[in-house]
Amino acid sequence: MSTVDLDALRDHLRPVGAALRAHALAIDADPGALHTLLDSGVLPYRELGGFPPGYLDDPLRVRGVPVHVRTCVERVVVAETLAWGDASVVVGAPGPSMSGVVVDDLADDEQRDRFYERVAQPRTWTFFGLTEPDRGSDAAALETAVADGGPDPADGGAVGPVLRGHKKYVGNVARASLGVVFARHRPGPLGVGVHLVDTDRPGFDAAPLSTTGMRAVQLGEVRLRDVPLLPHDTLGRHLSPSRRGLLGAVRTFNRLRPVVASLAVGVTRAALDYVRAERSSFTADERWRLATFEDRLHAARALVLQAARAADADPADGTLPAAAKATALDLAEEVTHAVPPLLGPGARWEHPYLDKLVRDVPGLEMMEGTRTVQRLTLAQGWLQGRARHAELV
Amino acid sequence: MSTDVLAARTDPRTSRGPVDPDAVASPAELRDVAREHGVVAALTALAALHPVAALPGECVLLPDDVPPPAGAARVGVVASDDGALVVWRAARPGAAAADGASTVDGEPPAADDAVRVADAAWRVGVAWVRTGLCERLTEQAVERLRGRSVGGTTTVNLAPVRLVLADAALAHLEAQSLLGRPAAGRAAPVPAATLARVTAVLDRSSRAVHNLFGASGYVDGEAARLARTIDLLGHASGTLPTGPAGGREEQHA
Ligand SMILES: Cc1cc2nc3c(=O)[nH]c(=O)nc-3n(C[C@H](O)[C@H](O)[C@H](O)COP(=O)(O)OP(=O)(O)OC[C@H]3O[C@@H](n4cnc5c(N)ncnc54)[C@H](O)[C@@H]3O)c2cc1C
Repeated sequence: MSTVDLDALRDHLRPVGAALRAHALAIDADPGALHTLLDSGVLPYRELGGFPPGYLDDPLRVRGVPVHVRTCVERVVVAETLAWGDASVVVGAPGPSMSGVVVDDLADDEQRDRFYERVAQPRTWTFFGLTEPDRGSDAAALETAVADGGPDPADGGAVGPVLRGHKKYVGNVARASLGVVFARHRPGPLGVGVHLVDTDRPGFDAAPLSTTGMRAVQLGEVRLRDVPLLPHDTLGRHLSPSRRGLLGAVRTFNRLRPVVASLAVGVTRAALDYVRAERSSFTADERWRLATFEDRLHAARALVLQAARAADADPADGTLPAAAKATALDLAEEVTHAVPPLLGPGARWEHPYLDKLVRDVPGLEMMEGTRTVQRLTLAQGWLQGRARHAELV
Repeated sequence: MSTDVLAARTDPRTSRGPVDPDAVASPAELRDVAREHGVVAALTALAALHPVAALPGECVLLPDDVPPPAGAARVGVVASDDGALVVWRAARPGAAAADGASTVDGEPPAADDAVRVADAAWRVGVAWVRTGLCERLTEQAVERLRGRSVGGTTTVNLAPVRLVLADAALAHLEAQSLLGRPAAGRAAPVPAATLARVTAVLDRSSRAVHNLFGASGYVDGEAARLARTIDLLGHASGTLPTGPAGGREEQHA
């Protein structure tokens, strides 16, 4: 459980959110401008990256208390506060990111050291390779394989196992130093393993894609052309079959969903603050609508926080995280579209930051599963008696 | 009986047959042009049907070779799935033209009735175009999801996906019936509330359909550009300016 004062954490990070805002349009126009932001030193990405104690010399301190940003609750507060400036930088910054959460869940001590020691180096990106061109929501049917590499052409000996397949829509993959690849070694739900892979291995061929939003994430694809796999790459060898691989990673997804929801909350807050900063008076109808949006924002934030607490307490239960993501995305989509017309005709061109917010939201929609998939998860959980008695107040 | 989708069929009772973008005789036909030929052909046909018009300070999106209203300023470019569209802002009277906020908090600039009627006719034409573009997007989504599967079921046959498609079909039908209401006795081709409803219905449905593309619709490509074009056409031309206060008093929020 978190011991940090969450309001103090928010206050501490507000200036960072403002700095991200100042760079947001430049990065949107040219994702390479992320380096300018990193050069400026205003984003303490390593301190916010969720490293376990011991890997960084100097963790984030809020009112003198070290904050490692390891719990889902801390992560959602950080993500929301920074997303007010630029949600895409929160996902696109160097650091452990999503891979860190799966490493925490599945890795043994040696693998954890390998991962975090490497990522603690400045400007080290990681990737999370799950989605494939033909398999997104249907992750259980993924086709990337752990194959037998056959004889080594050099000396005729055995090459050993290799990764063979194609991952697409993977954040940061073209600039990452290492990350995780989900791949199948046998049929069935227990046949998918998670492997820690360095990107400088032969056959790892990644390239960025151009997207309509969330540009700092530098979405990309990677072709895995017989990438050598070593025995110590496979995460969770010390865990039971149902706690490793794709099934084990379900806990990871449940912990990541509130974070994506909190990014949507931050984007919503940004849109509402923007219009109030640009315009001082509103019609009665407009005031009513804005007040309703504020109410819904308050409710969504409470739900996200509760979902984060639930994910910290029982990461195997994805019901509240799914509810949080669906609610926050509904609101973000509605608000980002409702706000520009309040600033007059052509506001999407005159206020490019608002246009960026509109374009970022569909990216959040896809991350960690669409709203439809979240609603199905919520219904399933609810029918099984979960999340019925959640207390938000 | 199988509920699987095999192939799209054309209903002979409702289809008007192939439409010639150079021979559009009514705004309703713009929908067919948009669906079959895309936004550039449809807006070009609209400009041949009605003069390009925008109230002072309002925006229009036009293909490169369609001249904007006199005095309009270029404010942006939209990369549609079908070529570039230029965003033009009609001249605002007086020096306040450069100040975006001045038209927001104040009354809309005066315009004579002829410009108002022409502006409304243009917006209704754009709404027909958007209806056809939404249908185009839906057809592309269906095409994609026919080739994908989840848990062994073709994605287009999943019940929640079917619900999105049903809602899209309902939206396209509602838009048509609202836009097709006879204009007899009214100065504007459709009332402001009607146009706003059409816009809202198409907005909601096109966003839901866009999500059907998954991450492929987020990569800068045909689907992403078409969805963005639908969105921005709605932003520029989707509602009639009725004055910020709409007869009510403005108050500080
Ligand atoms: C900005 C961004 C960052 C991303 N980062 C990563 C990353 O780092 N690593 C990674 O591996 N992936 C990443 N993704 C990919 C993301 O996880 C997938 O886009 C998502 O899982 C959806 O898969 P899909 O795109 O293949 O869509 P599909 O699965 O093809 O879905 C298409 C449509 O079908 C619907 N659908 C799917 N399944 C069902 C069902 N069971 N019932 C009803 N409807 C259904 C969906 O709601 C959707 O509307 C990212 C995507 C984006 C946009």
